[in-house]
Amino acid sequence: MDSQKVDMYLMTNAKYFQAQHLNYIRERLLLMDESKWFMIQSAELKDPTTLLIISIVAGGLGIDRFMLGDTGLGVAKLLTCGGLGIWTIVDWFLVMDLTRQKNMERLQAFL
Amino acid sequence: MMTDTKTAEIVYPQELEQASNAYLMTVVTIIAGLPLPIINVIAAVFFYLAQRKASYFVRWHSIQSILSQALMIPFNSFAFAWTLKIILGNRLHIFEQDGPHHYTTSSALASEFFYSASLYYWSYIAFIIFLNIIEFIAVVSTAAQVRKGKNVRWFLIANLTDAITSKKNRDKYRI
Repeated sequence: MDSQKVDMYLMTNAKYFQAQHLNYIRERLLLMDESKWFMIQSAELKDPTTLLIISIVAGGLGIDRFMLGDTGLGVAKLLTCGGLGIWTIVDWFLVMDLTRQKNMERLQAFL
Repeated sequence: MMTDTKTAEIVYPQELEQASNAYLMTVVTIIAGLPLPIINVIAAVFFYLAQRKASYFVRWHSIQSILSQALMIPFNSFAFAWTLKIILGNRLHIFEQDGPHHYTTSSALASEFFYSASLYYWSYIAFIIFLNIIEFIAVVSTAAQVRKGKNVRWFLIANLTDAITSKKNRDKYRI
């Protein structure tokens, strides 16, 4: 793929991924076929800051886990009232990186 | 960006924040679950489980965080149990059957030693509070220093952490 296009994509979406993965994404995108560009653009990426706010506000009900796509963990968190509060607190510190990881996994499907 | 001298691995600034969060999170849970001495350890274990696929640096600090919290369990649990015994002791006393009595040098019943809020109890509680404050300050300062990029190694615990932490790269996207 065109390097200018790839750089533009990374500049726009860098905040959705972990910094150490950006090199990997760039390399893979450069090697990729031009026809996949639309699929890459259509990949729904979640904003880590939004997920952090949701985790703080509704973490006890497991809404953050549901939004990330971890339905099983979301149900577990909901039924245990956020792991008696412990899981909720741990997730405040984890959710931003988890979101970036999930975004990476979502993009990886096309790379 | 810095390099971990022990493994010659590149540590990204974002990883410093993740590693620092391992300590910061335990500080928050200590405050949230204050009367119970084990909540911070459970939280630290949860944190490690979530970071299983993270870089060596982050996993190392997560494990050091667990061990630093686990260090306090025996002291805190004993203080917690002793306090419970004093609070509930008088009520539970009537249910106890007469067994063989054990006498201490002061000729008081050994079982009664733990039932009263004696000077020994208050001295122990003062010692525990002092120990916890020191541990709390050490954890907060470790969190701050790790965030600045310093690889803080706790005495003895760090060697144990070295032995436990797997050096295998678990991040499949890392270049």
